[in-house]
Amino acid sequence: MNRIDVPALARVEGEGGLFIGLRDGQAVEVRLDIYEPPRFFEGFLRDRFLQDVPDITARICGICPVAYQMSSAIALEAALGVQISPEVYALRRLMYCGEYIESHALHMFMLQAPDLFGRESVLELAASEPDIVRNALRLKKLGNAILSCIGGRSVHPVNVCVGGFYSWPSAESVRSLLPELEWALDTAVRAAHWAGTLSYPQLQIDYEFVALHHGTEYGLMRGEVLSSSGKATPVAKYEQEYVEYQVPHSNALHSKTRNGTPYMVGPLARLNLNHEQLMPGARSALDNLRLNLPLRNPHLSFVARAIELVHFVEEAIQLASTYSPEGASRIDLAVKAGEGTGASEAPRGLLYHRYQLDEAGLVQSARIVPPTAQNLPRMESDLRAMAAELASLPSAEATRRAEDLVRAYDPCISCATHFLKLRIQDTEAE
Amino acid sequence: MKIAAIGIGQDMRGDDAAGFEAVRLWEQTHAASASSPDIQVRLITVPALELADALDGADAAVVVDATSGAGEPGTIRTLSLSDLEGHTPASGNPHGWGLPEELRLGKLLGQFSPGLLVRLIGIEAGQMQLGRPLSLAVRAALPLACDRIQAEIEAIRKQ
Repeated sequence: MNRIDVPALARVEGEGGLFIGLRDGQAVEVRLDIYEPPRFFEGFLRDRFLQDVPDITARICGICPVAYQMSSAIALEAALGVQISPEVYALRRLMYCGEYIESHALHMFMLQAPDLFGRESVLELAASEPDIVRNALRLKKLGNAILSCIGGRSVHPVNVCVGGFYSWPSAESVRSLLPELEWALDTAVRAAHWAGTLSYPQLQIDYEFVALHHGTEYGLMRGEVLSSSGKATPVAKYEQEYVEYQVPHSNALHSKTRNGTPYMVGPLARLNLNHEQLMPGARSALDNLRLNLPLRNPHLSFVARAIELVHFVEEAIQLASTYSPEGASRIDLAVKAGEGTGASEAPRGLLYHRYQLDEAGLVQSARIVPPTAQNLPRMESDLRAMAAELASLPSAEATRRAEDLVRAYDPCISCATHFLKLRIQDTEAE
Repeated sequence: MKIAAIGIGQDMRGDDAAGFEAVRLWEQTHAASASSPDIQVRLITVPALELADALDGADAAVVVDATSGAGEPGTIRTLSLSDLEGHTPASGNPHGWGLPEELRLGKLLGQFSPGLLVRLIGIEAGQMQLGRPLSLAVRAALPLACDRIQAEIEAIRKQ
């Protein structure tokens, strides 16, 4: 019998379990058991005033609250038919840069890097590679400082509203971020080079990648939902192409394409689909690695995050340097009934929202599709593809390989509704 | 000597606010000591990042936090860093990152002053439910916690 039990997967956000049933070296069953209770956000948004929504949805995640604020604000602005100013859009992008910096620094250096160095935790990594962890903490602090500066606080910021921001941060406070951003750019470029020198587990999967794509900027808050199959879908028609469904073993919904196939969202999808829109320094960092795109090894999401880290620091420098608040920081909203959709690229991938409002601006229905829920079927398919290899390995090593794979996705089960316990069972022997 | 007086917790989660409330009360009841130039007071909600900042440049620190599993609600214990060495994280995920992990990481990275003296005052929590106030037992323990904070600071000043 081949059986592995892990009480909880470390270094992912949230808790859940993994079951793999094997027979003759093939997977007969793979389940990511998401057993944390549902969080009912879509339920308790009902009958709340539209302006409450960005502050409520921000509470879905402590690491990517900006993503939830932005997707909800965009969707509600679409429902009201209002257009934010270019200044607001630029400040939202700068704020999003802060979230990417803190989230990617956390995942790359503190959650995934221990796997690449064969360490159990960031504490072990800090003992052997203290500079990596020091830089990670400094980057995380910088990301948080950007969020505090623009959003009022680093966790669950409070300055974002439907129609813009409650107030402009001062130009002086935004400019004060620049010296640390300059340090971060140098650090990120070196980290991208370093990421290219590391050894990654070998795995090649023929993924369908899905990400927001825009012709003139790195897909983040506008554009179409582009698939590597070539299909471009307007955000308003997202639900016609990507379908949520329930599985018995998960309190998080799963997603598939209309054709019934799993797809991947997140940094690998973004880099593969949007690399032509990278900032020049990030593009140069990517070129220097001499990689053949599209990247199809999920473990190379580490490299994708490293390139994105360069991009978002670079973009933050550009946006902070040119920040010059003018006019009203938000639109006076004329409340009316309507329905709107919005999507943005959270650090972990595409985040879609849809809201229906009544004439008083109260939410009648809400739909939130987080990135981890979209990636869950993809993770299960990857683990199925790895089954023969896992069955051939000693149980401790097989467990580690499976955990590494899941961690490469940077799942946020708290968002999807929280996640990992691994059991590999030889069903023949049962 | 620079001494950091640090409360850790959350105001919105019942007895998890014990560290905040104890430090706030100490600032009132021992105002002269708390406003002395050698003291820097910090209230921290996210120890993972803010604690390292608060300890940056400090020669000593008195850290007050809620504890769980150390007796009846309101029980006060004074601990040293060595008391935390056997601590096993309750959770392997980032939500389980707390004071012991942060102190250990800071030590590994050499973020703290050499010879940093840290004294920990734990106040046993009864409940940490969202939206609840401090329990009566914890509230009743706050004056004693203030005296402990002051006693630790005086002991540090004499060193």
